[in-house]
Amino acid sequence: MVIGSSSTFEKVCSHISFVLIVLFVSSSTVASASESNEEANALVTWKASLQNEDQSQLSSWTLLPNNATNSSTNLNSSTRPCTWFGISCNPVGSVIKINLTHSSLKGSLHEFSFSSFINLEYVDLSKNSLFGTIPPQISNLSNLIYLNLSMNQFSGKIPPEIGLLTNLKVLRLGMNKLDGSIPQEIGQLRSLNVLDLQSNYLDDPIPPPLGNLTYIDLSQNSLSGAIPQEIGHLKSLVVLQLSVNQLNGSFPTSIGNLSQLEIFFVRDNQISGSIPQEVENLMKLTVFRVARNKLTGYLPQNICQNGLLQNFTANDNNLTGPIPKSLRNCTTLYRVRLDGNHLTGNMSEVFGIYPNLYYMNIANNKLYGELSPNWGRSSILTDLELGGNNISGTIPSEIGNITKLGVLDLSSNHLVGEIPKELGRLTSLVKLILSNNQLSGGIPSEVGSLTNLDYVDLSNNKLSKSIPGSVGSFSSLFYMNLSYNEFSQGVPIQVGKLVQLSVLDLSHNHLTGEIPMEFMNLQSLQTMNISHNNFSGITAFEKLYGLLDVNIAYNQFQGQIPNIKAFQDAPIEALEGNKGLCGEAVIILNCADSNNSHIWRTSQGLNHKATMSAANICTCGHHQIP
Amino acid sequence: MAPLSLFSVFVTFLLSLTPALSTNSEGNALHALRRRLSDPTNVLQSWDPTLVNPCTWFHVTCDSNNHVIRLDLGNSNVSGALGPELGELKHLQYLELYRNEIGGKIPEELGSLKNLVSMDLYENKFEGEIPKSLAKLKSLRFLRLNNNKLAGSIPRELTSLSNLKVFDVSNNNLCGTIPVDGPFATFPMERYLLPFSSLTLSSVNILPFYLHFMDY
Repeated sequence: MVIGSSSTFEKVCSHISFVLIVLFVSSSTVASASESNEEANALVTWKASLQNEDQSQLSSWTLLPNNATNSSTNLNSSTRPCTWFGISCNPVGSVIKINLTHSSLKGSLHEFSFSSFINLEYVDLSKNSLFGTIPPQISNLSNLIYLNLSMNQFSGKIPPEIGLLTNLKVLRLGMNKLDGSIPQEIGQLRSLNVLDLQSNYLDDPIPPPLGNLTYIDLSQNSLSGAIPQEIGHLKSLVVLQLSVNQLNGSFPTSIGNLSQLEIFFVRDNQISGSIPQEVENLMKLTVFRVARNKLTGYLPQNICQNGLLQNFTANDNNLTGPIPKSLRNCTTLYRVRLDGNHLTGNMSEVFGIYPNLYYMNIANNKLYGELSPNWGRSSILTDLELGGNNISGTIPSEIGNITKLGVLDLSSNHLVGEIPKELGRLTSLVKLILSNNQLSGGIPSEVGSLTNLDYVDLSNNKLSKSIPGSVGSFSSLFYMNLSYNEFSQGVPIQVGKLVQLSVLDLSHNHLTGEIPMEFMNLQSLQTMNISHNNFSGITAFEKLYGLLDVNIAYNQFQGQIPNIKAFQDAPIEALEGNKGLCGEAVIILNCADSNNSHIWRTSQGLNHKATMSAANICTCGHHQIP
Repeated sequence: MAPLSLFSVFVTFLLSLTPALSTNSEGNALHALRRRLSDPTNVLQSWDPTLVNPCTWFHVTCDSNNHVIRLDLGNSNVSGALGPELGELKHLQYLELYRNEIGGKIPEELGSLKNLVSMDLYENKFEGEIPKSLAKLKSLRFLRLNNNKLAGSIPRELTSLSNLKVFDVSNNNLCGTIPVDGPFATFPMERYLLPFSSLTLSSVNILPFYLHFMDY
């Protein structure tokens, strides 16, 4: 009887265990089926909340019709989203990655059930039209490593709950419409390497950064306050990009501790004080860009002692003192802008040879000394701007070796001597500005090779001789200013080939002769100043219908003013001092014993006339003064 | 040089993490233009979109507020087509794209350039019609579209361009009538028109349609 009951008991036990095992197995499969079912359901629910007209990207996101059954054998793969567009799963079928970048999504995250995705590690929803706020429930994604929501229209504040995503390594929220402050809690993200919040409307000060950041981009926001000195603790930081904000205060000296820093990019803020000398200690620094702040004091004199500096821009500050000594041997320099400061130094001494230099602008400083022939060794240089200094001496012929040069601006210095003919080798030159110096001699005819020139300004020098005919080859030229020189002889007929010329200033020279009829080809001419020369031949201007502003004063012009509005409306100052001009509504005579021109406006009667003695009356075309 | 190239690879990688565009809409518009054009002689090499604005780019001129006022790409060997982005250059005064191989249509968005003084698209391969929207360019003084493959008629709306002083549509496939109103009436160049100024021209492109001011 006992035996019978024990065997029954054993039978019951084994039955029960069998049932339990079956239940366990089926429940685990049911659990995984319902888990992927839950994830699939969450995705489909979210998809339904989106506003896409074009659903084709997510057309794979459907739950196939299924008689609702929880049978353990029903491992129907249609409930798994693992083959859906943009979805990746782990080996047991749970979603670990959602990549829907650039997928024409339009909608919000409000119907996204974050709590359904316990295994999600990677989310990329960038480059869509998603809007609304970032829900705080995002903190449910406890395994999240990578979050990229950039280039959308997300608005509102960054939820502080983001600070709970302790596994997060990459946080990219750039190019959205997020506002408010950067939550302090972001400092709790101990695993975070990349923080990209650029191009939003974030304000308030930057919270002290903690953790293991390698890349920080907070540029193009409205962040205020000073850069926190805790930034110096970021031993792994490689890129610091804070440009275009309203940061103030001074650079913390702790930035000298950023031993891995390669890019320091803080232009367009209101940072004051001086650049810490500790910057010299940054052994890996290649890019240092602090333009358009309120910096004062000296540049760090050993800034390139690491021999790696490539991009060095501090233009438009209030910096004083010498050009750093270390720049002389800084052969890695690629782009330099120090313009718009009060820097001093002897040009012949402070600069060396820069084979990698592409752009150099030190205009508007207090540099002196002479231009070294070494500039010719910068064979890839495209832009050399040294205007507005106190540079003396001559233009070295070696400048002609910079054959890729596009812009050469040596204006407003104290340069003397001739324009070297070697300038003709700069066949890529687009802008040539040598104005406001004391250059002498003629324009070398070799400049005719500069067929890409569109802007020439040689004004305010002591240039002489004739204007060479080779200027006719500047077929794209829209601006030519040769005023305030001592050019002589006539205007070459080749000037008529400058069919795109919009502004021509030849004023205040010793040019003579008739304006060539080829001038009629200058159909693009709008502003023409040829005053204070000895020109004649007014008929050359007759077809220049585009003219807006003319000045032909103090020449030898006589006869009928062209029937063009610019001439008809020109003020007396633009016409006076000639031999005798007249027109429909105006008569201007320059009579022998007087420096004044006398104007009669016949129909408008605008100006009074001075009386003239009969002996001084000039003839003037068809209109003879009675 | 090896460390240099390694560095540039690294920086390129890092900067690729950053979208190449700034919030400067004019720089973005020009960057979009660059992507549409084919540029075998690298005239657009200086067009670096990571700079704060396009004002240091070659062939771009800005005013004192860093707005683009001139685009000078004449004689530049570029081909490709224009896009609607050029309409974003709200302060543009001079659009100089003459003597290239640019094809496609003249974008109607060019009609939004309300400060435009000069539009020189001559000697290219532009096709399609002259957009009516060009009639909105109230400041336009120079409009030269000659030597292209433009078709259709001269939009009558262009007669409202009271500042137009220089106009050339010769050597295209245009048909229809030549306007004689507005600036077209006061153009003293009427004497350069072939003597059928009020007649409908043949739509077959046998007769070149001359309406220009001077024989270059």
